[in-house]
Amino acid sequence: MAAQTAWQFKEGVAPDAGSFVPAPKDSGELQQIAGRSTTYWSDAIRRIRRNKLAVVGFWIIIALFVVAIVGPMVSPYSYEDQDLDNTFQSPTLRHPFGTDQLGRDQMTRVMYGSRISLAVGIVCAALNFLIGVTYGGISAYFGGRVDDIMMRIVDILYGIPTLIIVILLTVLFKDKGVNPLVNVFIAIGLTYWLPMARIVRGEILSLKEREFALAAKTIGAPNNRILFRHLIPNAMGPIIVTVTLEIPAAIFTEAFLSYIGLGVSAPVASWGVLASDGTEAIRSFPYLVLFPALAISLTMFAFNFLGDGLRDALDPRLRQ
Amino acid sequence: MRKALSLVLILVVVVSFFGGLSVVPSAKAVAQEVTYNLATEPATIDPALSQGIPEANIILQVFDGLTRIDNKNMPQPAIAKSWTISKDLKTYVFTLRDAYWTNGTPVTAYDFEYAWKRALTPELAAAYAYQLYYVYGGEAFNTSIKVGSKYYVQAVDAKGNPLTKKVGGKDVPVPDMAKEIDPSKNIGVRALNAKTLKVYLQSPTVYFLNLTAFPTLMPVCKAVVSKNDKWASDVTNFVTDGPFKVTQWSHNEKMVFVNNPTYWDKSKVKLTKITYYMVEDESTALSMFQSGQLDASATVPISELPKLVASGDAQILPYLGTYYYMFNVTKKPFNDVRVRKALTLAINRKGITQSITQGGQVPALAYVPYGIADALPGSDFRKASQVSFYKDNDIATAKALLAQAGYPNGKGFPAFTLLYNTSQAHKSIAEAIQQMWKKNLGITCTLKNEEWGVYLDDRTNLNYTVARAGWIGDYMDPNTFLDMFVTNGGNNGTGWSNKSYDALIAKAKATTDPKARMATLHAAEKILMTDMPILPIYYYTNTVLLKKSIKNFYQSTLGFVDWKNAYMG
Amino acid sequence: MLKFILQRVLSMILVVLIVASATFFMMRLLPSGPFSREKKLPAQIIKNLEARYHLDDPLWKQYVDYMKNLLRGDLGPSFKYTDRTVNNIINDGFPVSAALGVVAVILAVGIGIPLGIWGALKQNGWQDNLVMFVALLGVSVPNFIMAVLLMFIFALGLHLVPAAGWGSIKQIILPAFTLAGYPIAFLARLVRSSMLEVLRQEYITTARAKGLSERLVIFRHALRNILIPVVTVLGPLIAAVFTGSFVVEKIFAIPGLGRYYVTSINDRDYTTILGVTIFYSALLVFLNFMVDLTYAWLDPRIRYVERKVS
Repeated sequence: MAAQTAWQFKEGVAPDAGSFVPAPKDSGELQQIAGRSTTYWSDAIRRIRRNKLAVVGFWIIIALFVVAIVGPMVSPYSYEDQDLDNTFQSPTLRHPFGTDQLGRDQMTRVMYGSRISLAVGIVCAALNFLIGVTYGGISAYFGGRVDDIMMRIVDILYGIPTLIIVILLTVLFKDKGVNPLVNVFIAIGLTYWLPMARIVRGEILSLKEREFALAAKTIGAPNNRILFRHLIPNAMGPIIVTVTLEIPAAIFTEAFLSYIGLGVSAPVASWGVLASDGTEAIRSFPYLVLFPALAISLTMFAFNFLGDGLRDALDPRLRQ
Repeated sequence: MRKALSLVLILVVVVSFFGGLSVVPSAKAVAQEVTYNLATEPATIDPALSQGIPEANIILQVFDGLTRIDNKNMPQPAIAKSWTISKDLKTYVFTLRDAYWTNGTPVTAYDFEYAWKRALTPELAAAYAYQLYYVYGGEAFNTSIKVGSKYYVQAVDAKGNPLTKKVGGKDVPVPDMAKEIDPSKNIGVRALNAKTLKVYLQSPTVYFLNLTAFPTLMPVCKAVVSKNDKWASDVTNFVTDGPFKVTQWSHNEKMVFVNNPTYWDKSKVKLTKITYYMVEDESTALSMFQSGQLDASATVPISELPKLVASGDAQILPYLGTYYYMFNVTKKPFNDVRVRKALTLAINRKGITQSITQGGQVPALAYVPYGIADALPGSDFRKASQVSFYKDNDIATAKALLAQAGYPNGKGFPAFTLLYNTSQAHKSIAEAIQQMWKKNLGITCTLKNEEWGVYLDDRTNLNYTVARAGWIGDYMDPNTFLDMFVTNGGNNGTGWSNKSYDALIAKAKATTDPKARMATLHAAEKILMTDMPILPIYYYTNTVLLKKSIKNFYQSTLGFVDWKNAYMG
Repeated sequence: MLKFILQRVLSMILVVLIVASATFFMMRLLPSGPFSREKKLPAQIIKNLEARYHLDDPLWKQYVDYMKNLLRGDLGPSFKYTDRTVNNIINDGFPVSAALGVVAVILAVGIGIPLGIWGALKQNGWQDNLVMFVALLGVSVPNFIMAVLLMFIFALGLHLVPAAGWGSIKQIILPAFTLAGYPIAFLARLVRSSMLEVLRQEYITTARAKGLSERLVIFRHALRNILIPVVTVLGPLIAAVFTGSFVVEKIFAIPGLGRYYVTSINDRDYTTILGVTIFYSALLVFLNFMVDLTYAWLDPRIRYVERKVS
């Protein structure tokens, strides 16, 4: 097991690097010292179940999904039905979240909007995780010239104004019949992983010089195994924090994209769009921004609870 | 002793109390200072280069033109104390009064001649130079080609197409060396002496005296500007002749004006200081208004407007503009006038203005808005002939027209896209109209919002089916609304073309008799409203946040604010 | 090390040039140009304008000319603000944004890091839960709502500070907190999570076992090791905050540089787009360089020069 590997060299006598003969790279047996994967995952699931907050977070997320799918179906209103005689109604039993500037039922709109926002939040977090972690990990692990080039690419992507890229995307996607959400995923996927890549890189730069990593290397474990089984699990803390905190950021970015003209078109509105539209009327009709903002916060809390649980479960050093 | 002392004390208190009362003036003098939110950083304060309303709202405070627009939207003598107009309405002779620049030198006719010619110089590239195309030779000079220090007309080939040649990879217009334009001779503005300015127009222009109050036509101090091209970038060089002068310009933050002691009409100016802020966010401006940082603001958040109007903190002012949708008449099915008419009739404008825009807008049942004088004094173009060309929310007729066009109950009507530029107000209106068409006619459209530049580009290239648009008048005449729809007009945007419409607009331009001219314009509007390349929705209004202590505030129907006569009461 | 620094500086210059070039050509692909208006200008006037700003030259020539001027430090005239140059705009806006940015970064670091440490030390106690709850709230409330709420409460409600504007110390408070909101929360969570890991490591146990005081353990031994993710975040954060936030500057009416990152693109003000982009990206690569140097200082094991594996 990874943690053991670290322990062994910490407590035992560190091998003299000069006298050590590297094992053949393709030696499969020797890598097995990294542990059996079945145990690792079942162990993680066992421990996540014991974490109450994580379980609560998990069920909130399930509930959000159920509401997103079933809510608009059972609601007596549709997200687009207008009633110009009943605009800006405060919350009542008939309209628990009130009605908006066109007299539409805000609760139905929030429920319908969760379909977009949850999809955006989760897909973007996943993209962020996949691209950012891999990119940052590779950059740091190989270091030197590779790191310099990969990180300079990140700097370039940071530097080019996202707004220009997004406007060009709207022109590119126009009349192409692509699902508008896919456009959003592409736009967010293009630049959203940059902070993650930098954070992972910073962690791995330090971790790869630690004893357990050097040890894995000296016994001839292949690069991808060292990176993905030894180093990245040890950087899980900052990774999970970054992923969960970028979920609300992605939800609001979707609202910005929709402002530029990328994404689903009105009258469908995501949480982000509902919240930013509601902010314009915040003085007189604060409930219009309150409910979508609450929905975003709730999602965010749920993912954080689950994320913290995941972190504890996946971090090899926190295992008993 | 003690008693006596306390008596004295009481006396002192009583006397000082009454004495104090009598010292306090009966009406405390109000500081004649005002803070106003311009809402945006002006692009320039050089009158020749100015384009938008924010720039105009600075220039009109610090400059005085030949004329100045009064509170009834009529031009009044300003730097020109009088004028004569020739019978053919083409020659104007202005007599200037004794007026002075802020640097103490007199304002002369030479300054006007210089300023107008400067604005027309091709290399200055003033965006609003076309406001001077009314002056004889103005357009020719502005579009001429400079060779050395001289200007020439662009050469044309046998078919009359302008000639260009490739030089260093770019197309350069070829000058016709036989046709020189000499700005000192070939432009219809000349100072006969320091106090007399003669202006010769390209064609009779009945609203010319309104134009002489427009920012582009303001004089500039020749002695200063001819020596310093960047004179407007530094307020210390910014020599002006208006009621106020600029003392400070902190970019994106504020601009400070004080009353101008050299102004010819300074006795009328009561405000001693105006501070313009550039607060872009409407809600922030309202917060600053409520917390006393602002006395007035050019912007009011829509959602708060009804409350603010009711409390008297906001005012609704007339604004010369029309909010409309345009049809791409080159695209099926909108090439069919019955379809366009059906879509026009099937919307409930009253519902939109009362429930959504809520700013006192008037449902538009024609194109030219209220507020433009017709031929007879005191008359209104809108009321003079036909107030409306169709009924609002006329669903029955709309359905019948749609059926005639081959789409009974919307059956078989192709799906189309309604395009608008991103803004919450445009979105709400589009959502409402989308639903009205669906409910009333059974036709479906999808909404599409675009970033401003992308939207403009799509509009220009007819890359849309139905699109949101708006037009604010440039001057107080129906022509500013109507001449844009001539065939291939730069602002037509619909692909619509009608020969008799073009002829009427051309005829109105050449007509000097006011009655005949207005009749021609009425006829033109009728054609437009019969062919319906556009779908008028409402006539704009302007809203302003205004403290009740501000008196005599004036904002013209073109949106121009004038603080000259305002005061704090 | 000197060779590393030299190489790095060269690659930084290259990055800025690539960003400038990519932005130059991408922005010219945007529909509409600097002189597009809803009320269209006559074609001949647009020609005059294009001639004035040399937009009628072939694109490659415009690019070469721009790059030549850039090397001389001349960012050109603004197309939108006729009386101003882009150098002018940056000179006016950057000090304002940077002043606000300094305060925001100090708040973020000064509040975020201690909160995170505190949370970790009291792991799962009520203090920890409270800190993390507040931090999460800070992240899930976007800055445009946060700004409005702060303004309502502290300016309109309690009359403690002016609602908006620039010029006095009091006017920095609300925008600085709005700007710092997300970083405070992010740093607090990051520090807490790193701290928890560090506290479980052997050398901390060893240090404690040696009888060192808790304070010494935290500040001498633990803090250094949690700073790597913090420093990583701070690089881009400082670059972003110092060049100004569009939302915060708009809502609090602050005459900074942030607005131009959005308005210049909307206005298609080409020179301003390039100027502010180059400025930001130069600042960013410089700060990321500083971050890398700080890594090496924080963790001497980190080496940038490739090891020769024999």
